This record gives sequence, structure tokens and C-alpha cells, in this order.
Amino acid sequence: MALLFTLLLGASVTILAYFINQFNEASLIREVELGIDTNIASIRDWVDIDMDVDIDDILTQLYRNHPNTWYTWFDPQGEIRYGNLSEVGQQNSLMAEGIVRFEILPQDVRTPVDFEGYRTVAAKVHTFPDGSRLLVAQDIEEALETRQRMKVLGGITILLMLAVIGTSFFISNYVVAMINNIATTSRQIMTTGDLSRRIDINTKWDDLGNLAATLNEMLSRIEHLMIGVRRVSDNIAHDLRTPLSRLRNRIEELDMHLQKKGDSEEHVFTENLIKEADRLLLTFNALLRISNIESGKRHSEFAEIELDELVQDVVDFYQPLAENNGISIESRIEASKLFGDRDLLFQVVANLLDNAVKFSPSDTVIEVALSADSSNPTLSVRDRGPGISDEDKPRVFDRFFRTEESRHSQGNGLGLSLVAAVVEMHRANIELRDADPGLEILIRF
Amino acid sequence: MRVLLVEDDNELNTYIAKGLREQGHTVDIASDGKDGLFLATTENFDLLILDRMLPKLDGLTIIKTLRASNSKVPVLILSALGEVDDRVMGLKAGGDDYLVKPFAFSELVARMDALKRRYESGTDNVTTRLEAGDLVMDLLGRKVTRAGQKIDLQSREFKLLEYLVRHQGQVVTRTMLLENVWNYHFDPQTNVIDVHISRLRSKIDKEFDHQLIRTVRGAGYIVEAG
Repeated sequence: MALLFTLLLGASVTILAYFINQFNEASLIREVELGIDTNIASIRDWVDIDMDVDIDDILTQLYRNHPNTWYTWFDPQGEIRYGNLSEVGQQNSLMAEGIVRFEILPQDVRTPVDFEGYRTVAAKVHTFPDGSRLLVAQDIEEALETRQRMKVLGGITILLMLAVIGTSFFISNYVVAMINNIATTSRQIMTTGDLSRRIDINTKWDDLGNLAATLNEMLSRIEHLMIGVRRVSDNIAHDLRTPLSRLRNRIEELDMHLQKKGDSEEHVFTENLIKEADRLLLTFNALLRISNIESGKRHSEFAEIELDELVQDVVDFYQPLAENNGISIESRIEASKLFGDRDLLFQVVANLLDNAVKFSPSDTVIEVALSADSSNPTLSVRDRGPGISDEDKPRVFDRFFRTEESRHSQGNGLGLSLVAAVVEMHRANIELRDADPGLEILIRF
Repeated sequence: MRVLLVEDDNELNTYIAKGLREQGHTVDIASDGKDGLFLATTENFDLLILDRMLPKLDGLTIIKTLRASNSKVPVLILSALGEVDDRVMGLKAGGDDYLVKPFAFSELVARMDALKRRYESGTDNVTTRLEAGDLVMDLLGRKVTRAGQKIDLQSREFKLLEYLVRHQGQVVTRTMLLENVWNYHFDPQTNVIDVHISRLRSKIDKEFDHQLIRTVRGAGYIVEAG
């Protein structure tokens, strides 16, 4: 873009220069012509008034009064009769229509001259009715010089303008490069999740340096916040999990004590207590894990995985449970690889299948498909259960959300929250579709 | 077993020590890293239970030091840090197993037994045949017979049975099964593993008098030859 702009500017400047030059040229000619025409007109007037006027006299008066003008009078036969210019140089060029340009040497002039070398003149010829001709030549040496000076000045100006254009082109390139640098670094930080990186700009430009410094400050702030968040969640891990597990262990102690006593009834109570405690701990762990994933703590475990094998493993894993419930799982899995976290992805597929098995009525089919088109694998899990209403659809990924139908079944409402967090972590997207009846969940990597 | 427990949480180490002593193990306790390393290097232990976060000297450094001096004693790491990266770091440092706090006591015991078994049999021991009572597993041919009768098992069922039989006489927890038979670390929502076990039972236990696979309430499963 910048290049196009620069070229356009350069072209317009050049065109402008050309036109100015033409204008100057035209204006010079006009001026000269005016001078000559005035001269011719005044002589003509004299001749018109009085045919017998002494032309020699007139011309002599004129060239005495106008030292820069030369005159030649040709009689009808072409002989030079009057004027101070006796030779009209052979070498001449046409300056404009009717105007000729040539050089006068001292020997061409009858009257004493005050110049050396030569003078450049522009001349016009007027023909009288009787065939006589008058040539008036005007010195244009000075005008030419002026024009030359203007040309030089003009040339310098244009060069300066081109220099400015060129410089601004380079400046803009430089600035754009710096900006791209910032954008690239920012994107890298986002992709790798590495908040300790900073934008590295070594520039003398205050504005850019300022921008980079401000952005780096912002990154520092974000990094601090993230560290704070992670510390809180780690503290939760340590401070809350430990008393919870202590509670569980004490119940287990009681349970073992009761077992030894042989008191089977009370033992059932403690067994249930232990189950509750375990459920609580499981929920707690899941919550912690989701929080860790969202805060980017788990980024380093990515590796190339065979996604088809993983999905097949999950299908195999849930097959017996499904069969027990009268549900069959059909799978159409194409080979595909993915760069991701193996355990988390297993958990995702397992959560989806777990839900599908939980909500499918018996004698229905769960369809699992993994397609590998255009190197973006797509996973789909479809069941024939009650599905999810449109108003619930945006909320199912919230923590602890349970639909009306699922409220009585086992689960803590975090399964899909985890799925959402892992999907986000892999830069994939998830879609819920009505399967009429049932629900289809699609994950596009 | 002679066990060295290095843990700075006094309530926890009392609890663990008591439980282990009730099971017949001898337990020595150290409350900081320096004491722990000292005891580990000057006395003989069958197993080390080591917390990762310790005052004076952290658990991973202790393990690295021990391994550097050619000690092959099995080490079970306890840690409140539960992410896979932490687990991997612990195992890379030379730990043999990794338990995340809070853990069930039964889980701890099961893993201790598994470690001891592994240590005793040696890792380069290549068996081609496993037996439990009248059950025989041909690991090369992937065949199972019980009382001479051939039993058809699917590949995953075979792996499951193999793990249980290798650890016969020891409690195997569901987590251990997930990690070793399915190779994944995750939390199943429902008791999916139980269904796999009941499938297996229907194949190898149902028609026989003695039930090889027994459920241990609150802990897991155990294969007992009877």
C-alpha cells in the first residue's frame, strides 16, 4: 500500500513539474511576443498614418531608445534597406508560431555594440501591404537566464519533494514493521500462554517506544494477576483440600473401627459418609482442574496424539456400561492426529459419552463419529435422549448447571464445564445441535 | 516392610504411621528433608514415602540424591500438587509412584504393595505365564484357561485380568487400573470400571465355585487364589 502511495505521489510530482515547465516556457514566449508586437504595432501605426514617413528615422529613433531591440527593414524586393541588424543569422529555430530564435554576432549589427560574443534574440516578421517586411528581434538573453535559474530551482524543489516522499515511505515502512513486531509478539504470548514474555522494541522513536513500554506494563499487570489467581487456586488446593481429606480419613478410621466391631448396620452409615466425602472431593478436584486449565496452567502437556485411537479407547471403555443399559454405541472413526493434551481430551470424550449413556433410553443408539477432513478433525457424539432446550443450551457449560431432566441423576454439573475449558484450551469450538430426538455435540478442532 | 515416612504435616504422618503399623509395617518418621535424607542413607528401608514439599530440603532433591548414590529403594511421592506436569517431574526425578493429596488410605496401601511387588520381582523379569489358583494366563499366546477350560477374553479384558493377577493378594484401586490398564489419568463420573470388572467376572468367575475377583469395599478389587 505504502509503495503504491509513494509511486502515485512521485508520479504526480513529476507531472506537476512538467506542466510548470511548460507554463514557464509559454509565459516567456508570450512576454517576448508582446514586446515585439508592441514594437511592430507602433511602427505600423507610423506607416499607416504617413506612407512617406522616413522609416530609417523611425527605426533609428527606436533602436536608440531600445538598446535591446534590433530592426531590419526589407524592401519589397527583399533587400535590406534600414535598421541596425544587417545579417539575419542562418542558424535559427522556431520558438513558437511566427517567432524565430537566433543569435546575433557583433558583425551582424551596423551600430556600435556593447556586447561581446553573441546575443540570443527572438524575432517576428511583419509584412506590409506593399511587400516590405519588418523584422523585429528582441534580446531574450536575460529572460533565458531567468528561465534557466527557475529550472534549476524547480529541479531542486522536485528533488527535495521526492526525497521527502522517499523518506516518508521508509518511515512508514519502519513504523509498520515495528507495529507488526508488537502484533506478532502479542500473538505469540497469547498462543503459548507465556505471560512472562515482553515486547522487545529497540527504537529511538519515542512514540513507538512509549507504546511498547505501556503494553509491557500491561503484560506485567496481567502476569501478576494470573500469578495471583493461580496462587489463590493453589492455596485452595492446599488449605481446603487437606481439611476435607482429613475429614474423610477420620470417617474411614471410624468405618474400619466399626468393621472390626462387626457392626454391619452402622458400617453402612459410615460407608455412605465416605461416599459423600469422596463425591465432594471429586467435585472439588474437578473445579480446581477447570480453574487451572482456564488460567493456562496446563499448557505444557501438549503432544502429537492419535485422536482416532483415543476416541476408540473411550468408546471401548464405555461399551460395557452402555450395553448393560441396553444402549449400543456405533462409531465411525477416521484416522486423524491432533496436537493436544491426551488426558484432558480423554476426559472430554469420556464426559460426553458419560452424559450420552446417562440420558439415552434403552434400545437406542449413541453415534460417535470422528471425521478428518481438511486436517481439522471434527468429533460428533449423538444420543437419542431428552436433548437440551434452546434456553438451556447456552447455560449447560456453566459450572454446576444441571437441566431439569438431569437433576436427579448422578453428577456434579461440572462435566460440560470441563469440556468447555479443554475445548477452549485447544482453540477448538463446540456446538450443540438438536438431533430430533436427542442431542448432538460437535467439536471442531 | 520397613517404611520411612518423610512428611512435615504432623497430623498426617501420625495418621499414616498408625495405619501402617496396624498393618504390620515398621514405620520411621522424619519431619524435615535433612533428617529424612540422613535416615534414608544411613538405614535400610524397604520403602520411602516422601512428601514433595519439605522444610530444609525438598522431596525431589532427596530422591535425586538417593538415585545418584545408586540407591534403588522404591519411593512413593506424596504431593498436594496434582497436575500431570508435577507428576511427570516427580517420576523423572526418580520417584516410582505419585499420590496426590488428599488420598484415601486404602489407595496408599495398595500402591505401596504394588511398589514392593515390583521391586521384589525386578523390572526386567519377563514372565510369559501367570497363575492364580486354577487360572492360567499365557501371556505370549494371549490365552486364558481355568481348570483346563478355555476362556475367550477381549483384548482389554485380558489386560485387566493380567494386571489383577500380577498383583494377586494385593488390593488394586480403580485409579491404579485406569492408569495401568487404560493408560489415562482422569476421573470417571460413573462406575464404568465396575462394569468392566463385572464383565470379566461373568467370564472367569461365574461358572466356578471360587470367586477369584473380590470387591474390597471403599478401596478396589483383589484377586485371591483361595
